[in-house]
Amino acid sequence: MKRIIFWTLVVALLALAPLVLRSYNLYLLNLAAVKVIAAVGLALLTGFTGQLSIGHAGFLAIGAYGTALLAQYFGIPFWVGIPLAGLLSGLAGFILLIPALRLSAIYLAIATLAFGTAVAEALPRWASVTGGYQGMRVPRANLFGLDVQNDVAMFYLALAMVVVLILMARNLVRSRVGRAFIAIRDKSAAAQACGVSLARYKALAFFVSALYAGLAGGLYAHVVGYISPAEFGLAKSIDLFIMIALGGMASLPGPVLGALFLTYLPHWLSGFRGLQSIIYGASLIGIVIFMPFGIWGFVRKWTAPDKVRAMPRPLRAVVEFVQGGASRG
Amino acid sequence: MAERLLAVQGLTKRFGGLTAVDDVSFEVERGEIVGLIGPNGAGKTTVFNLISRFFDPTKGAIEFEGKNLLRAAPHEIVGLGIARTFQNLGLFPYLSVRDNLLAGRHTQFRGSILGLALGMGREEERAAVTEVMAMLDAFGMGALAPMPASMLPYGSQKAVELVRALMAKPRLVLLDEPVAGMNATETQAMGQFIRRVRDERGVTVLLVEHDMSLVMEVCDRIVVLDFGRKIAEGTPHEIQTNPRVVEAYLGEEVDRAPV
Repeated sequence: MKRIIFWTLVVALLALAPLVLRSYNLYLLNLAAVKVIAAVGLALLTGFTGQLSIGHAGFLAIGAYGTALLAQYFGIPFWVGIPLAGLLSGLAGFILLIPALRLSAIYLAIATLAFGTAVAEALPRWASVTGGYQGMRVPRANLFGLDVQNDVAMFYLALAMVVVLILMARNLVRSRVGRAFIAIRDKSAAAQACGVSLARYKALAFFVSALYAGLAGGLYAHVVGYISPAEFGLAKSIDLFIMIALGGMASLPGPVLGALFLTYLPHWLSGFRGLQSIIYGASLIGIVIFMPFGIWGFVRKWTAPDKVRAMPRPLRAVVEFVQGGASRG
Repeated sequence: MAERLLAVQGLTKRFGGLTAVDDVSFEVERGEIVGLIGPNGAGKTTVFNLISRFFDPTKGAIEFEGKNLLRAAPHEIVGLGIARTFQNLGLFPYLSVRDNLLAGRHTQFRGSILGLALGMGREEERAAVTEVMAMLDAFGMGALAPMPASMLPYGSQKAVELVRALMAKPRLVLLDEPVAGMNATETQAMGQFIRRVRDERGVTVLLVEHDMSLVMEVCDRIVVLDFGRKIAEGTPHEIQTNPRVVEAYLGEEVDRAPV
C-alpha cells in the first residue's frame, strides 16, 4: 500500500513538471522516456529471458518510420499510428525467433546484429518512401484538429506510455510469464520439464521486447519531429544494451535507471570541454567495477541487502553468454 | 490389482557409434518405487532423458497411461503427468524457493497472457501461492519459502526440487540421483521423504541412484542396466544375489593365479 502511494505521488509530481520546467528540459525528459521504454523492453528479452540482442535499434526504426509513414501516406493520427507501428515492430520480432530457437548466446547476438544492420541499411535505400539518408519530416501530431506537436503535449503522451508500459511489464514479470522467462534463461532443460514451451515463451519475449522498442520509436518520431536512418544504427543498439547492463538488466528499475543515467550523463558533462569522452568512459567503467549488480543493485544493497546476494550480475551474465556456447540452449 | 503406469518397450538410443541404451524394456506399476541402477555410463540418465523427450529414441516405444509419449514435446510431458528432477540440480538459482515451486506448477495456470499483462492474474497467483505454502508446510519447509534457491544447503536444494516436481500434480516422478553428494544422515532423510511422497501422495517413483543403501531400502523393484542393456530386474533381495549384477559392479571373477 505504501508503495502505491509513493509511486502515485511520483507520477503526480511528474505530471506537474511542465509547470516548472522549460521546454528544453521537457524535451530531454521526453527523450529519456523513449529510452526508458526501449530499455525496459530490451531488459525483458535480454535480462529476464537471456536472449542477447544487439540489434534493437532496428525495432526502434520500424516503430519510428512506421509511425511517420502511416501519418504521411495514410493520414493516420499519431494515437493510432504509434500503437500500430509498435505492433508491426512486435511482429517483426518474430523474425528473430527463428535464429533464437536454433542459436544460443553469442551466435544469437550476431543474428540480431545482422537484423539491426539490415534495417539500418534498407531505410536509406528505399529513398522514394523514406527520404533516403536525408531522413524525413514527421507529420505534426494532431488530436481531433488540435495541433499537439509540442513538448508539453508530448511530455504527457510520454508519461502515460511510460506508466502503462512499466505497469504491464511488471504484471508480466510477476506472473508465470516472468518465471518462465527466468527459467529459460537459467536452466532451459528444467524449464521444459516444468512445462515451459521454449518456442512459445521465446516468441513472447521477442514480441513484447520488439513491441516496446517499436512504441518507443513511434514516440521518438513525434518527440523529435524529424527522423533519419543514421539515428538507428549499431551505436544505438549498443547504447540500449549498455543502459540495461549498467542499470541492472534482470530487473525493471534497472533499465529505467540505466536509461535515465545515460540520457543525462552527457548533459552533466557538457561543461567539461574535451574531457567529456574520458569522464563518460571512466564513469561507465567505474559502475561496472564498483556496482557489479548494476545501479539498481547498488541501491538495493542499502534498501534490501538480503535480495542483492541473489541478484544475477548483469555483466557476469554477459560473460556466461559468451562462455555458455551450445550448453545453454 | 496392479496397474501398468509406464511401459518402456525395446528402447534404443545411439549417439553416432555409441549405443547408450540398447533394446531396454521395463514397466512401472502405479504406486511402485522402482530403482534404475547400473555402473557409470550404463545409460540410466539417457533413459530418463528419453522419457522426458529431450532426445528421440533410435528405436522403441514409451507409453504412459496407455498414451504414446513419443508424440509429445518435452514441455508437454509434465502436463501428461510425469515430473522430474535433475542430477545436477534443476532449481532456478535466482528464484526464491516459493517462486521455484510456482514455476513447478506452471502448467496449472490458466490466465491468458494478455490478461496477465493487464494485471488480471492476481487472484490466481494468490491461490497458487497458498497452494505452494501448504505444500512446503506439509514437508516442514515453510521457513525456506523466501530464500533464493542458490542460498540453500545442497541437501535442501535436492529436497526442494522434489517438492517442486510434486507441484505439477504428477502421477509419476523421475528422480535422477536424489542423494548424490549427501552424507548418510541426509540420505536416510531423503529415503524417508521419497517414501512419504509415495505413501501420502500416491505418486509413483522411478529413480536413478548409485547409493545402494538407499536403493535397497526404498525400492520395491530394481532394474539393472549395464552398457546400455538390461541385465536384471527384481526385488532388492533378488538383485543383491544376482551373479550378473555382482559381475557388472565388481568385474568378472578370474582364476586366482599362483603368487
